[in-house]
Amino acid sequence: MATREQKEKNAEKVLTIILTRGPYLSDAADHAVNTALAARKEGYTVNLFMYLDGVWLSHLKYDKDFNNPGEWLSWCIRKGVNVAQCDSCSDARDLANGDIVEGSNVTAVYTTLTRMIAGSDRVITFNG
Amino acid sequence: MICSFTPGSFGGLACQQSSMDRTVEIPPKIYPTRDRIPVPVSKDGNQLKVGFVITATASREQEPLRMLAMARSIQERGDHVDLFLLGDGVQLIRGSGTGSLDALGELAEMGSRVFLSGEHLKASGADVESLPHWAETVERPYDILVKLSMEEWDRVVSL
Amino acid sequence: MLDGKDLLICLSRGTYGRFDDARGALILASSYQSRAGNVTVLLRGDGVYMALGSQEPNDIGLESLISLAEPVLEMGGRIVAVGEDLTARGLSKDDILEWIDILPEDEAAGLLVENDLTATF
Repeated sequence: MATREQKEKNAEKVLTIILTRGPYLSDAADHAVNTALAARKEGYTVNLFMYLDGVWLSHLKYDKDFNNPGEWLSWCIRKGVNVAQCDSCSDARDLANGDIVEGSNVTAVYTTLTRMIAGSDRVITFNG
Repeated sequence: MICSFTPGSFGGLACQQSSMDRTVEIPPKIYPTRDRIPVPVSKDGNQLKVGFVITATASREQEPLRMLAMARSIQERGDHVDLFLLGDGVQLIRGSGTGSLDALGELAEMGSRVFLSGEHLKASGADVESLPHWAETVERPYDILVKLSMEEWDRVVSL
Repeated sequence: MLDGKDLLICLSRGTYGRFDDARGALILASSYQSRAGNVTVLLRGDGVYMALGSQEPNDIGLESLISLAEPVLEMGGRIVAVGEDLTARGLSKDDILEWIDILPEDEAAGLLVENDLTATF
């Protein structure tokens, strides 16, 4: 794990993760949240944008007795990952603010995702 | 883009990015012709490190084998390529019949590093002891992926 | 206008059968091109089907991907298709829109290096 000084330095670097698949049918969501958490642990600035079917990840609000990427998403929010999701994708899937984990910013691709990407040092997409 | 002819590993045309001029001119509706577009060299002329993060098996839509072919082209032209196999991507190391093992082996011979997620290898039932010598198993895959992406690689391509 | 890096968007999935992937890729492309930086859309694998002309998806209730692609070009972006993937699918330059460039695979690989960032769909 990075030292405090290294983390302060790492904070200047930005990683944006784009997730375009929902949970369970593929492991893309698992890869996305695990990568986000690993990057935050090292102090990087991390954006996680749920796009297309990726917005379904935010719908996992409750505890489960099995692998729960929604819980990891909540951890991402608690650990300071900038979590956002596409507003029109969410609308299309009838996901309103009460249906999603607290702390996920429902916002537009045009404003937020473009800004996230433009300011990033690296972008990783999980779309499997 | 300012382009000038100088010998280079990408067919002789070097392009340099001009300073950031974001004034967008809407071009007239004369779209580009089908002429071959020269492949530019790396922007600053130095070798770039490109990481390919693969989470798909050989038969999936993302066509990882074709992407490995692109990786080979990049390596042949002088930049450096690493492969990071995660999730179902670790199945590429099996490769019998799909050609993926050969493709990875060729890249390794050319100098690429091939990383495989240990936990996904174990999940898939692979015999870690029988992996090719050039395959590097990593036990904290996401930590290593982040380190490579943020500190070593200049470019990341994921599929 | 954001001072953004050059972005490559790779689309490897087919068109109306994987509509959201194609649509999502093109919406991101036009958004980024208009607001942040230069975009190249690379059609590879089944993504080359997006390059086909004469698309009329009205009867299946979907909007035309061509109508989403054209703004990318109009704002200065670029759309290229991998030649080998076209050929493998029995397509030639006569089948595709004339404003989409065709690159051989080894040159398309150069786009992965030339662009600062890559998003894949």
